[in-house]
Amino acid sequence: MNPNAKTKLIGCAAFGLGDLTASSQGSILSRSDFCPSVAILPGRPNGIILTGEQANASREHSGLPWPPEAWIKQGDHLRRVPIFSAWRSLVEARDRHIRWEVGGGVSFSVARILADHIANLLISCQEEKEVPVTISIPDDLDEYGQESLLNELRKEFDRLNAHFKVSLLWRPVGAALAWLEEAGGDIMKKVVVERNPEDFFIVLYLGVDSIECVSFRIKIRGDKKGLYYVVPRRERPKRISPLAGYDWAGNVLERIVQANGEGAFWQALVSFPDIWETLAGRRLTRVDPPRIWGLEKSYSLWEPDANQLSAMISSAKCGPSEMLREVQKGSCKVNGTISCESSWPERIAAIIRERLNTHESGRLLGMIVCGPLTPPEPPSWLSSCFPELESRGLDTRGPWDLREANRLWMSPGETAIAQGCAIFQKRLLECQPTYLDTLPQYFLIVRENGGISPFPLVDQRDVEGGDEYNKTIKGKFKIEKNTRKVDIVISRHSSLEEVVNLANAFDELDRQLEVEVEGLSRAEASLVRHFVREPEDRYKALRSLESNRKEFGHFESAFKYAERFAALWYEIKEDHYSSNSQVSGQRDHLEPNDSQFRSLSFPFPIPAPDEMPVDLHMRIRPASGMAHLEIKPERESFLRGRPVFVDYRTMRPFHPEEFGGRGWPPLVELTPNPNPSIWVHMEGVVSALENPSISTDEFFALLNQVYDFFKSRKQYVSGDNSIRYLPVLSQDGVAGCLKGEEIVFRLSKVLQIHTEFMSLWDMNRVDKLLTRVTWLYGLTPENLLNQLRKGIPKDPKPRTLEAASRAIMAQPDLTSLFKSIVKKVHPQNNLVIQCIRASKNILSYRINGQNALNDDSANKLLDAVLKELRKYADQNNYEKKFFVSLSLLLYLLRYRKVDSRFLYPDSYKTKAIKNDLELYIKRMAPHLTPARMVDAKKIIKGIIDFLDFSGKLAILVPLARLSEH
Amino acid sequence: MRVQARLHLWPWSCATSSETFDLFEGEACFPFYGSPTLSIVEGAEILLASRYERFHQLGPPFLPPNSKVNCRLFEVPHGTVAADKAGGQILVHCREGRELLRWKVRLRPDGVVPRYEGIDEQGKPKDSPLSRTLLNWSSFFDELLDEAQRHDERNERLEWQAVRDYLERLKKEAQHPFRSVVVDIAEKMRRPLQETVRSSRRVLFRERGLLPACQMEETDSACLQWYIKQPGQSMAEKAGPRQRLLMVARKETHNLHENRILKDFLLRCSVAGKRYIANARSENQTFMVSKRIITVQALVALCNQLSEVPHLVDIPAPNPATPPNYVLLNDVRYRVIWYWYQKLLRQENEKDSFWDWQSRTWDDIARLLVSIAIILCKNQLLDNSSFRFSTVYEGALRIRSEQILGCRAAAGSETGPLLIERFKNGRLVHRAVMEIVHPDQAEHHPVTCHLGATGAHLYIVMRQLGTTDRAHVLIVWAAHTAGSSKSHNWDAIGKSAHNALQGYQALLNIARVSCRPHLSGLVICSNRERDKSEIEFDNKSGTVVISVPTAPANWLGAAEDIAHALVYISENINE
Repeated sequence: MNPNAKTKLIGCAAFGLGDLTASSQGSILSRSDFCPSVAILPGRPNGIILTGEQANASREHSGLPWPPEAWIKQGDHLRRVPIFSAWRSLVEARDRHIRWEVGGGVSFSVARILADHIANLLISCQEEKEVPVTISIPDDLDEYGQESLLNELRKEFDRLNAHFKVSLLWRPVGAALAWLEEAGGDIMKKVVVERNPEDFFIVLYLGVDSIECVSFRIKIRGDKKGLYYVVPRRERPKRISPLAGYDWAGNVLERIVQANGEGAFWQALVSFPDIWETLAGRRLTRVDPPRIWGLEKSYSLWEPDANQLSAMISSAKCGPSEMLREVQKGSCKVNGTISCESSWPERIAAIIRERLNTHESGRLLGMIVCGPLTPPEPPSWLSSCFPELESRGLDTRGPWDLREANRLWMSPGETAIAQGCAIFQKRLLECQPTYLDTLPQYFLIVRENGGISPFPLVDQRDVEGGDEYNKTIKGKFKIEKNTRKVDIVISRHSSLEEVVNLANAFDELDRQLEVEVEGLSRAEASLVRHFVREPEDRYKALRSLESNRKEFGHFESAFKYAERFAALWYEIKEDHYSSNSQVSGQRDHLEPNDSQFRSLSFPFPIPAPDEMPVDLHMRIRPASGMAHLEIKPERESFLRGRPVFVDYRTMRPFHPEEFGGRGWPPLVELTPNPNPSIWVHMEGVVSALENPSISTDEFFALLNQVYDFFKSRKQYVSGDNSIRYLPVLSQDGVAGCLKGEEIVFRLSKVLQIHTEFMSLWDMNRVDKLLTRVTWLYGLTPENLLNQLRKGIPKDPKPRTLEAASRAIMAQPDLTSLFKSIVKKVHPQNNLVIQCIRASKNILSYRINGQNALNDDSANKLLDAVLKELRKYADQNNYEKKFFVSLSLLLYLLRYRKVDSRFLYPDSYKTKAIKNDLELYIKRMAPHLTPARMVDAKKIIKGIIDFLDFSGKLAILVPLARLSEH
Repeated sequence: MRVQARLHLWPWSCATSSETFDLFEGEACFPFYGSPTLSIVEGAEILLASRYERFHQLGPPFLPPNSKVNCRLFEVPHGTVAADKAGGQILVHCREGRELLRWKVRLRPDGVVPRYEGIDEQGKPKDSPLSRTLLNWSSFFDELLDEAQRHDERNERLEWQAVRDYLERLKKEAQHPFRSVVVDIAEKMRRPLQETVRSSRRVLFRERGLLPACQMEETDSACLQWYIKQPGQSMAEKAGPRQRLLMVARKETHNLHENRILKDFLLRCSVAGKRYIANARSENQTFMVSKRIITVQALVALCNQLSEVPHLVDIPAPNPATPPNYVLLNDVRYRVIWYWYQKLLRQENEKDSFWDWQSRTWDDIARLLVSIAIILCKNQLLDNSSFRFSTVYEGALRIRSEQILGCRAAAGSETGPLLIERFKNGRLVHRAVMEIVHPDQAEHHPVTCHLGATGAHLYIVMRQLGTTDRAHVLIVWAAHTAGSSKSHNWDAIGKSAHNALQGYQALLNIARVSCRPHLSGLVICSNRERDKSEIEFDNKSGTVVISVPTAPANWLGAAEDIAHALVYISENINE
């Protein structure tokens, strides 16, 4: 296109209120009324979506009491879609596909609804159908959302036979460009060149779908002719805007019309302009005849009092509009505003102050307040920020309609944004600088040395708006022989460290042992996990929990937690984070989490004849959808050297644990018996122990009873009449019921008192005491722990080491415990069973157990346990000891968390272990019952999988069974 | 028979004992006025014996006087009463406890207009004028649908203003016979038909046969097997005395599914065209010089000529169960043929249903005319300054592509709600909201849910602003009097409806319902004899009877009369 030709350029801002298009020649076209725009969805998939005037005139789901198609009911599907809700839901969906349900199994892509709305606006405003158009988008719209919007726009334009050339522009950037067009003259350039590069300006967008407060630093960029322009530099938002303007209106209307039902509320929000006019500081429009307001069973006139509305607007508490959420939830769940204690004006003022505080050193060069809810003069909440703004150098005195440097510019409506879009398009055509954008930081996750390494795909920090960024990565990938696709994992985070941390987050299951679950005690949470772990699949697990619902005080909480834990335990591949957020209605997805990992596929038309290196090429442009990724085989003979593009439809959420499976097992959890009746006898024993004048013999006799009680597992008949044998305490010393906790606490206290002078006792008694009392696990009295700490370095007996492994939890003590165990390893690598059990206890019960090992101790223990396994196999002894040794072998793999090279899958040692294990399977067959053989085979194959970094959790339950009984 | 069932001569006759007959198993004789109804206990099913079609209920359930069980009203199809043999029968199925009661009634009405009258030149029964009218009604809805789909074929909604404009256009085209599918085909398909027939698809297929040995071109394994089995050493010996060998020959054929459809289409166009011309001639001799008739005549001639083309002569009729093949769905020439062929077939198929359920089609038309009348009131076309109608929302006519028991307009298509303001001496004195309620949806409306016994075909509810208990309901009845051969006295009809209304009003006052609306009535009768609508005001009762011509070209004038009636009734309400 010839840049000198006078091409008409269009900027469009269509966020659902006061939508308009502006052309480069200055004309602006907008809707006459100040009502939110809506789209009417058809009831069948191939129907027509009504938009614009036609949609506003339609009575579908308008909220009137008649006809039935106008009714609004809580939880029902909604065919009238407010455009502001559509934008908000698209933004909140991030990189998920979001649809609007209309019932009967019919739903529509939200991006399509927006595309139809925008296309209708452009078609109705423009006679020409081949002009370049820039459409503004929210500052926090994800690349996936941009991509879907662009695709749907293309389809809609094809259908309408229009040929608009569409580009997207961030909403605040549009406002900034419109401001800088006049304010960015010589004064501003001088400011930039001579003063602090940290100087900035603020754009506050008061919109219906979102309230955004964004700051820009400014830069100077020259064009080819040698002219210099002041351009804004955009930072990527770290999270979605916490405020949605429609919730403000909803909060106010809820208080006025709540008694009249959802229909009355919906009409006042979507069909009448009054609340929006009041929010925007306009005079209320009165019409003749007055507006009819349909209540639940009658009609009335809608003539609200402007003063009452204004008063409510300033006092409304900031939070989501519950009524609006209820009305929409049948079709699309939109979270909207994050609740807080302050009022709306206070919250917006606080956001401005927060934004100011992020720029400590720079000077405020200007402030733009724009959007449909912007009043022509600064409202009181903005005036309250004037002292802070003025202290940073802003001139807040009026008039406020001037676009000048260092001044406050109030720009009601979307005019500034639409004009900014037209300016952006014009500058692009004339090859002038537009703005600087920060690219999304993509990281490619590759597996190296048995671990995971992130590899940045974007090196450059800033890129010119409208320009393309290219990068080629050579030699990082190979297509496996005879495969037809390459799967890669991509992560999008703000920093490399964040990705490293998340990529190594294999231990969610371990963390679950320590989490506090709302509505559940620690013991109840542990019981939930027990019910989930036992069955073979997730469905059975949840059903088992359902049939034991009486075991929990708050079953709802227990079930929600069980769903979450089951998703982790059974490694559900779908996006369990989204299902959680749907169940709880919470806003988990608004915060960064590890669901930001995505798996992508490159499909090939034919399988690769042999292993083939490939180059990865990436192209990305700011605000233009997803990055274009393509793989090009190095050898031109394959696919004739043609590239293969990524298919984003195959994109799915990816959990780090899926990356090649597990290389080590999660911690073992001892679930305490929740039955209070098991403690009845123990209560008497503790009372007897509490007698200060107890004799030594009596004391030890009672101690034997304590030992017998805590050591053995107790029968537990759950709500579905199934019998289980559960330990009395967890590995942290937590009892399963309140009564038990009280008794254990008393017992621990009384034992602490009785053992005050333990150092004077003879060693046999001390040993006896230690082996019995350490069954209290984490609640072992401090006197005994001190005794153990002192005794461990002095070559204690193996049974003392085993006792210590139950009681000691702290890192330095565990290190010395391992040293002592390693010392017990015989020169011929023999190791007694107590030491094996002690090592297994430490590694399987304690979250930091593996940190107590070092290379030397880990290898010595490994050699010893392999020797023991071989010994048992030679003796054809495949009883408990053999499986305890296998357990230790498995839990030694947790040392991989410390040293990723430990038992590296391709190493000679690992191969030898795998060979040995496979040999044991063959040799043990004649010596085990068929049922036991099945379990044993499953366990050994499972351990081999763990050695290959593809372990599955299904072996843990049978392993525990065979090693304990 | 243990189930209570009654037949009512008019839709409003449920509470009028003199116009109600108890139904018993066997036969029932009664005078036929066009729109009789049946009332039967709720839960019972009534079916048309000839097609096993389930009757559709009219309005919400109601509790008849001196009864303990709820009843529902059903409209009686014209086909039931007009046909002979099994056609005159209805089946009633009712569950009483665990027992399913089934019984049959043969209805013997007096005064039904027959479907056919006389025999035409080809010895086939000739359509009666009423039958021709129904064809026009069917075409009217087809035209409306085409109008809606002009810009987007997915669309089935037509704004009421557009319907009004269409009626205006029809009024101007009164000198032509009414449009039909065959007219559209004649206008759009003459040239494409010739091209398609001239270059109709043909294929080459291979066929084994005994052919002269000297013409051998192609062979296959089966031929070779045959060849080696033949006695003799050389080819000449194996060819035998007739010198013929089994070999593969390629032959050209036009006998394809798409060509069978094409030929059937030509034949059907010819038949439909002839019937259209004959009907137009019977309707009005002056139509014979109309451009439409000339175009259709040309089409008939063309179809006759094309169906005699040599390569189509031997093509058989298509198998009715065969679905369209790839060519019919995707080939540019045949796709159009298939589209019009389907339209033509559908029109043929729907003819029977339209005849049987013609009273329900008239209900649709009456409802359509009321909505148009309201649009006229809103547009102030009546030059009445004492009322102002303003729409809160305007609905749109949703047209079904196929009839359901005679109905082509979907329930809920009615316009409104509207705000009615009444002025006196330029001063606003009264404001109310007008809701238009279709009988299928009346059950959901807080006022009309108690009015099931009225047998209304449309309820116009006027509710004062701010109150829930004061309402006025205008009951609109559509009486298909054109279906009856009896002569009608509009005054007597008005009185009958008025008496019924008074009965309902009394029942409402006795009944313990939260809202006791004030009732008034409007009867819209069909009239085949006149070209202009007649309006009969009853100053005493306030019930208005309007006789509306059955020809669509006259409906805009009728809508204007209905609009006048609405204003008249509205004025009476407040006085």
